[in-house]
Amino acid sequence: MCLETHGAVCEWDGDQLTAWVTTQGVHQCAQQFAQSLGIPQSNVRVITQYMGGGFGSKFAPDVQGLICARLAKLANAPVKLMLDRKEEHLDTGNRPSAFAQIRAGVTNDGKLTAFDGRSWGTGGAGANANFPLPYLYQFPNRRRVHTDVYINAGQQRAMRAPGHPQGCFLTEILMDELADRVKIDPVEFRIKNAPPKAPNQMWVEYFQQGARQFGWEKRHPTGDPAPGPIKAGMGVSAHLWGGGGRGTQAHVDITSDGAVVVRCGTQDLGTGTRTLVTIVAAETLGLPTSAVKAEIGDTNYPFSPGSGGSTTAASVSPAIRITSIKALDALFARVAPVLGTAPGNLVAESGRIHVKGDPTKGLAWKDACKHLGTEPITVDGQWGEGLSSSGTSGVQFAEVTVDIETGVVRIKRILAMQDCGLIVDKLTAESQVYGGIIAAINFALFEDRLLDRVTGQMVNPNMEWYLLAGMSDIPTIDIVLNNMPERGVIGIGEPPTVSTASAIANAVRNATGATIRSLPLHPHKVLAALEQQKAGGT
Amino acid sequence: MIEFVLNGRGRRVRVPPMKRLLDVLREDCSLPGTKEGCGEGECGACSVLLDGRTVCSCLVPVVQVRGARVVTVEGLDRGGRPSALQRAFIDLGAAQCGICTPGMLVTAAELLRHARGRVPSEEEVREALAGNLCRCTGYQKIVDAVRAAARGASRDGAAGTSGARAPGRSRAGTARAKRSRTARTKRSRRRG
Amino acid sequence: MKAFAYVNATSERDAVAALKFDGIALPLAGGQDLLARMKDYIDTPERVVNVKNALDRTAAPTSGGGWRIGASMKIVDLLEHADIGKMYPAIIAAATDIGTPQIRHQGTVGGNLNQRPRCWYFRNEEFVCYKKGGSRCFAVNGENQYHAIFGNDGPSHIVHPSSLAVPFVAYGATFRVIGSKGEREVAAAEYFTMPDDELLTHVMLPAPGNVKTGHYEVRYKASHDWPLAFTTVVLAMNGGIVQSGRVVLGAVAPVPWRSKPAEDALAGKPLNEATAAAAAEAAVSEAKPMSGNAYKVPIARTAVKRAILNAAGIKTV
Repeated sequence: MCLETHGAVCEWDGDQLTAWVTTQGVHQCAQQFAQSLGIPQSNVRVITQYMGGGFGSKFAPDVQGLICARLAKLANAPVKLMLDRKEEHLDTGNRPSAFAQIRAGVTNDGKLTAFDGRSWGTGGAGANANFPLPYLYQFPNRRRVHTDVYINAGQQRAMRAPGHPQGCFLTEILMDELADRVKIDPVEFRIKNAPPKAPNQMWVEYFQQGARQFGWEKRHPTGDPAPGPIKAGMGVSAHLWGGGGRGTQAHVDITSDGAVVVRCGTQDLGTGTRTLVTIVAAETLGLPTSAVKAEIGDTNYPFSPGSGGSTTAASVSPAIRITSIKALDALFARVAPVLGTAPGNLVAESGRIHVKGDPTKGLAWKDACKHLGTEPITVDGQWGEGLSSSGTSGVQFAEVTVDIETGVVRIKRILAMQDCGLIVDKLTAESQVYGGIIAAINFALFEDRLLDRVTGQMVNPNMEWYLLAGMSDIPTIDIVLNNMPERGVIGIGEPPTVSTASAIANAVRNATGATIRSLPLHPHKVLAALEQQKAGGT
Repeated sequence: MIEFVLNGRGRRVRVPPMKRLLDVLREDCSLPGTKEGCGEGECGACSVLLDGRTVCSCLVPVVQVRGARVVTVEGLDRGGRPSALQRAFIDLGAAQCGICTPGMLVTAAELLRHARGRVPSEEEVREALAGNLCRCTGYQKIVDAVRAAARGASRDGAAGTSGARAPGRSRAGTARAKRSRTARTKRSRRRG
Repeated sequence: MKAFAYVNATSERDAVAALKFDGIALPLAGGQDLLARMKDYIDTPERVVNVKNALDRTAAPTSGGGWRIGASMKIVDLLEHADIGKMYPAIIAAATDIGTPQIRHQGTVGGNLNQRPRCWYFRNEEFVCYKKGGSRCFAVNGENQYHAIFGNDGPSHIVHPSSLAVPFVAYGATFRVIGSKGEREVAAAEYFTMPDDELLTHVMLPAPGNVKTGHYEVRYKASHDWPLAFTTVVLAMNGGIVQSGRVVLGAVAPVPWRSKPAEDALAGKPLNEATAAAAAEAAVSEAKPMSGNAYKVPIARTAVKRAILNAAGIKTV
């Protein structure tokens, strides 16, 4: 759920519609406005300068966008239509549910042998709810039957790493229970059953390195023996994601006053896409970021796909890089004669264009651009192979305390080991990891759509009873980013949100000795599990 | 007619008495910096200062600000330049999508003013910002930015003075840096 | 929001006169609850009477050594009041846990005491429940995990939403109210079941005397959440022995819930862990949870035990 609700401002100028929409895909949104309103797509312009989060739920104009457009037409005036919080809860989708019954086999020396699972999930009315299961680990024999259950409630929608947190949780809590059965440390057990090391499969290394950094050797066996009601525990989990991208086009203008404008019809969800565009262009042109103006979030700019699946960085960065190189080459061609050299001998760095190896033989950027006169550099370019790839891996560790007299779980520490190929900007890459982890803490402890069992109405369409972590609910988070420049840009929005809840649930089990196979870890579930444990069963 | 002082200037609005202060600010005063998140006082995105204290402008009927001083995020800058606090948010990456940011800034500005140049502990920052939800950042960088601004301000001798520099990106961006942090199994509170 | 008339009262007398009205008239103080209810069509008053300026917003010592708190006093001002903090620490502990800083800055003592229920059926315009003129309580067969575990014999299953009501009852406060028949003082515990045709003007706190107090709140989120259960205990001591005491639970019943069994279990006993455990057990002996909230029983028990240990100065967690 986003802090900014879904909505739009629509304005017509004759038969031309301009829609300012909070959307993760301006071009896709324009296409759907055109289809739904029965007008040519060339008559629709969608703009998203800034938006208050999307997390997978904001692609289409939706009913509120179309109503907004129609009202604006009828009113012959601009119309703003933002959903209120209750409408947001009822109308804009949910992460689908997941439920499973699993039988699994393991040898005495800790090798997984078989997985036999039946799973169910509901995506609401007529929508499916499948998810990957078993997740990540190698079961040589596997069988799984999934059934979608349709219920008369709002439809599911993508929610940051769709399907993965569910499949990860169901598999990872099984892994801890199996590890206990064969009396093997959970990290060691996972290493035995993880896929072999590869650039996009770094789990074994992350388990080992993370365990050292986290202080895993201090972990006690299941059930904290310490006296008193507060029990502490540690848990671990691993995840994977695809990422990678393609299809983005871009445009670069360089004018005689030295100004650089980069245009790309991508959009910034708050993930830092604008920063990324600026950084890539500036670095390529040898300029400070302040010398580059990035213009994004508008269907008047070159096409870029919607921002989903952690594909934006990998689709946008190569396009900006390639187009900027093209622009620079064009500039070199114009400046080379002035410097009495061939274009191929020139480089751009530190705000200057000069002959390779001889910084004195050159011009300041602005002076070089003066030679463009009345004919600016204006080039188009697009994504190309070789600068991006896909496939990422990560491991997370969690430490929690559980008050066994109240069932309240507090998270103490999270350690995230994560790769995403080439890190374009460390600050925003880390921010994605922080953000993924807090989203997952909400998944682990708080977020829960509660439907009245009699009427089917959601009883908590608000932020009062639909709980979200505040500042004091967030632990110390340490992040280890593994920079792999040789793999190119991949993407990092989703993977860090997959493992956290599983690591937390395993930590709660380690603390209490009670097995809880359900999220969120509300006190009523924790207390019930403790009761059951006292009664002698799981 | 309701009169109040908005970002240091007298302001009169002719609006219904129960109109939300949030809507009066955005619609009648053309100050869209204040954001609506939940509309029910849970998320703090609409925080503004009312006589020096943060309130949720979505829950305040405008009639209750008659004669009061209101400061919005638009009133935090220093003559068009970002304040030390705003600078620290930018430098440390304390914003992602940005919709919680105005409320965070206003609430943090109140904390820094009350701290009078002292650098608040992490726990104090978290308590002071308990009413401000963020879905993107994981909060840590917000806490870091508020404390960095306080450190800058304490060097300068006054909170919120412009020109105070936050630590640079490279140092603050080191996520592996050890952070000393008081345990928060329970909230500190005075007890009988 | 439905149209209504607005009256700005400037004295207690004005306020009472304005609220005496043929249609529905509601008082407005901080406005945080009323505005939200009006926006959601939970309440549609024909007249809104602003009492913020009509009622006392200060606290003053009384001749009997206690304190008198005006209903218009902001929660933040109560929280920062040094003398009240020293004499009535449980009030400060309770006030600290109210809402968010923003809510405490705008909310008033009177508003906190008079908040309408936070029940999700009551707050949803689509459910016309008992409290909105309907014929049933939807919580009984519905989602009741945050509803009452005590006092469920009547038609109401809400939990009283006021954090301040609990320590006020525990300290033996009386409430000064005014109405068309003049002013009077009622015991705090009685106020919450009275017909609401009078206006609360002051909370009168008696001198606490030789007491030990404790307060403990259990809630799920660390930042800003409604409590799952909380307890204030105020114990009159004779040396190390509890002479008598008040044990009041919050967030567990339609009113602040004073536990007679817990008070009996404390009387005449030394203040120690065994006494705390026995009193906590006694407190929940009369719990009657609903279909989905039995988990609140051990939580309430823990809140009582830890509040008593807190009064005894024994570290709990």
